[in-house]
Amino acid sequence: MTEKPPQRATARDKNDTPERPASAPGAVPEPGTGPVPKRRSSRHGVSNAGLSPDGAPASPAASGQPDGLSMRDTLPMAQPSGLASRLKNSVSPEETVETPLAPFLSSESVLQDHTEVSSWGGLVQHQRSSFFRQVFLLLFMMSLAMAVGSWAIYYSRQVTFLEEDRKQRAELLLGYLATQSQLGAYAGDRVLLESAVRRMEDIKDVLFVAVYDSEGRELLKTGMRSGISPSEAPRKLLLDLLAAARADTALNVPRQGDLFAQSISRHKRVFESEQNNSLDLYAPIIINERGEPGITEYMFPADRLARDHVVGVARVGLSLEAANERLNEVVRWGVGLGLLLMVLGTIAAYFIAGRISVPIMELARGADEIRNGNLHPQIQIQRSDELGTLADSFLRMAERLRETMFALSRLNRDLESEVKRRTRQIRLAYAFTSVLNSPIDRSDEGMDAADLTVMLDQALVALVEATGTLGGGVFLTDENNPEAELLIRAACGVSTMTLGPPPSLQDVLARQGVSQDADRSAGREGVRAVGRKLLVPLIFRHHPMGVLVLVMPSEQLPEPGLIEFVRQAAAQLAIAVSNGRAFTRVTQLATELRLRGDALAAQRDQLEQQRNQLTTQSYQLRLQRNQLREVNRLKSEFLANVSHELRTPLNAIMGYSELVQDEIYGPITSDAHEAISGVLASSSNLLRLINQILDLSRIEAGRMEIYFEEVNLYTLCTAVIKEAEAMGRDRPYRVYLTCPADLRVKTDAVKLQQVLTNLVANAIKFTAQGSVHLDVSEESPPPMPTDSTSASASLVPAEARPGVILISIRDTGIGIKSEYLELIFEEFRQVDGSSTRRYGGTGLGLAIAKRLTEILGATISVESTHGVGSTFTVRLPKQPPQLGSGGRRGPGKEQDSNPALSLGAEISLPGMTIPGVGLGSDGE
Amino acid sequence: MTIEPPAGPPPKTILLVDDDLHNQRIFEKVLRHHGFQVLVAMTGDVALQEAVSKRPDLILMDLSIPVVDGWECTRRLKAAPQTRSIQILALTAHAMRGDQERALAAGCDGYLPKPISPRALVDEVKKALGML
Repeated sequence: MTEKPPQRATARDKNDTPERPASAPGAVPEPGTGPVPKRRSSRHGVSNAGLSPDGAPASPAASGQPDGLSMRDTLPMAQPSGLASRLKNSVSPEETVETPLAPFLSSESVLQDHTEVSSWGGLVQHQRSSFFRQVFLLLFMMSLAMAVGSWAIYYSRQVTFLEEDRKQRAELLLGYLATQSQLGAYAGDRVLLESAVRRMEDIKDVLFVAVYDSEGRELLKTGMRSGISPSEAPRKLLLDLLAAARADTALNVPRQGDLFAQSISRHKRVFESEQNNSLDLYAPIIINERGEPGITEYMFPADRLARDHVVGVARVGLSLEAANERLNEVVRWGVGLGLLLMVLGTIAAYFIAGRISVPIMELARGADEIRNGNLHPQIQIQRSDELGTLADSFLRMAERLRETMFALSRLNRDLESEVKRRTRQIRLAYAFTSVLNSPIDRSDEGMDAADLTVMLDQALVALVEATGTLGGGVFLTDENNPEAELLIRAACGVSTMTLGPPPSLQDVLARQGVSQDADRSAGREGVRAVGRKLLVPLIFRHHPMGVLVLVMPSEQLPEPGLIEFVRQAAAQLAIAVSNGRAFTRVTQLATELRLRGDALAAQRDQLEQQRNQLTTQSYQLRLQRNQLREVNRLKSEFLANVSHELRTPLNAIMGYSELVQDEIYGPITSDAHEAISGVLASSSNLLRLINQILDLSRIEAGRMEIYFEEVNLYTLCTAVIKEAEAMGRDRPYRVYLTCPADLRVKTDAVKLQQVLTNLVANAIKFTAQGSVHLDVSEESPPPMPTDSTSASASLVPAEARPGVILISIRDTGIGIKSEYLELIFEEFRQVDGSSTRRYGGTGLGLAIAKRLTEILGATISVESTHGVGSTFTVRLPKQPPQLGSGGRRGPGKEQDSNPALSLGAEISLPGMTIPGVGLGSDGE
Repeated sequence: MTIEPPAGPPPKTILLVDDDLHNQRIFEKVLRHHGFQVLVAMTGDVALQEAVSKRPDLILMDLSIPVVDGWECTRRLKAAPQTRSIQILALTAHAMRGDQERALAAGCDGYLPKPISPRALVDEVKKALGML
């Protein structure tokens, strides 16, 4: 009991300054070393036991704990980490005692550490500890306050009481002395006084007694206790006292009660003596007439008369030691009682706090268990108070929760099974539907009656399974005879005997809406229950197609959901049957169509093949044409180069010749003149040949450009004859022209003149003697077939059209053998090889003429009799056949359609010996 | 045919451009014969130098000549202000269809296809110089 406060104080002291031990070197092992937890636990035990045995101020490990109780509540497992963190805190020296707040702060940190420890074990632990500590601290403080308060009250009351007691005692003693010494003091008789005083010597705390007379003279003075000599009474005090008492008595006021007591209390003087721990009391000694009779007898008669007389002063020294001793005792008792109360209060607080907090912690733990899913929390609270009620309520609540959860899970289970049931139904319904749809899925294969039956069987199986019936059947109308009796088309699960005979469609339909057969209407339109059978008509778009019969396990009416399902299934079945029938028809039609389509496809393939061949040919032709174009381009280039390289030396030949002929180099003989003329003529021939070759190649290259214009044929023919005469100057011939003067035609004058010049020159060349006739006429509208047509090589018979000009060149030359007629328009062809040398010429004139006439839209033909002469006829349209492009198209078309011709020309060109030809001509 | 002695006005200068030696001789001969002063060039670059330095009255331009061809020479001469006024007659063996158009397009004032008679050449030159 007496140990508790120091322990308390020590504990608090440690609590407030937890770092102090840690900062002391060697008080605590280095943080983090191995033996720490062990030491900690051992110290913990010491802390619980109270003071450490060796009397050390504190065990460092216990310093972190607010008190031993919460320490006990801490989980042992949590200690190492708590220690580690606390040690972590403790090694920071800055935190020690730098500021006055530091102890508080460190205490806080300790509390936080504790929180960490608790949170390791869960929130409940922390709450429990904190709450317990709060309650305990509160109660502890309350008990402390009560103890201190009660002690203070007790003490003050005791002090007051003692004071009162002492005062009364002092007055009593003083009054006694004054009374006893009345006579002695009045008489001044020492003996009387001594006898009076002697009785007081027995009183324990009276130190001394003294009596003074009315003049303040000492009558008697005794030292009761040895060694204590009363001090000399101050005279002034005595006189003052006497004066005051006399003044008081002089008033002579009749007084009620004890005058003596009054006077004592009114006039006594009290002095506390320091050194002797004593009281020095003075009081006047008063006699009055109404005093005791004994006394008045001794009084002087005068004095006896009236009233009170102050006869002296009594003085008593009182020791205070006894009183102090009592006071000390009182204090001791008070402190003891207070401590006892406090200890009792602390113990009570601990138990009360435990009693309050433990059930609450228990409840919290129970709630936590519930939170963690344990619906059977173990709560040991056997109490009849409010906490007990609370625990009961809590347990009831947990039970209710359990029931609710159970109900909920049961509901959930029911729901799941319901969902499963529905899912199964839906799956079966889906199976049924997919069976119905499967023929459509296979629609590309077509469908026939067998497929429909298979589908019905499968659908019926699915439907029976989906509805949970025993079996069923499908009766359908005859497709070709709807009025006939229904035919069974599918059955499943039950025999046809059970199904019975085919129901009458009219009956099933007529029963609609009418209760019949023991009033077992299922209540849904279209579904009838007859005995154990459900009859459902199959109706698609108001056309009854049959009846679905389902045999139920019992005669119980099926539930409305099933009836609805059967109704819908029947509707789908009707649709499927209808679809199936339609599909069957469509399949037949499709087969026919496919057969026809195949035939068409075969034709199409054939056509496609032909088209492909044509495309290939066209491509090849295009390829050839492109090749030919390239060949022609190269040929043109080659010809241009040839032309250039031929003209340059020809220019020199002709130029020198002319200079010589003009005698610029000096006079020459007449023979030389003749020779030079020969050179010039040959050169001219050569130049003509070159020009012709180039013309031909230009024509064949399609590069000949033509310009249609109004041409006067007479003028043109005159120019032709003039030019031809220039070529054949050396021959005896005549050219006769027959031509209307104003005959006009729209054509290319240059080309036409070239054609005619070639023809006339050719006629002149092969006519050794005789004449050449150039006749131009307009053809009469009905074209007259000339009688020589049969013998002529009419290449392209001209299309008879109005306005054709006939130009014929007739000679009387050697003629052409009929076998050569077809060849004369080819290049480098004369009638025979020798004729070239004999008649000169290039052999290109007729070829060029023919090409040019074609360009002009005209035709050329020849008739000849060997040895008599030849007639060339040009049929020229007055209007160009296709103005603009027609002239260019002619040769281009020919070239495309007859590539061999131009290729031949190209090949033959390098082989031809132009100087040889020229020399042949030159040889004349 | 008859030699015309140079009368009062100074003789006209003609630049003859041709890479063929014989043709060059022939044309030079006949032109001198007719009283022209004749400059000769066988390549395009020489022709351009002569044209710029001697400022002839007329150029007879062969088109197929080495170094710088006749078409290009014509284009350059016609592009330069100091030679733009010189008349240029193409004298060429390029006598295919379209060659005349190409020569005129290059800037030639006239086109004389070879072979050409020296007499005709002199006539053309005189015609171009306004002497006929």
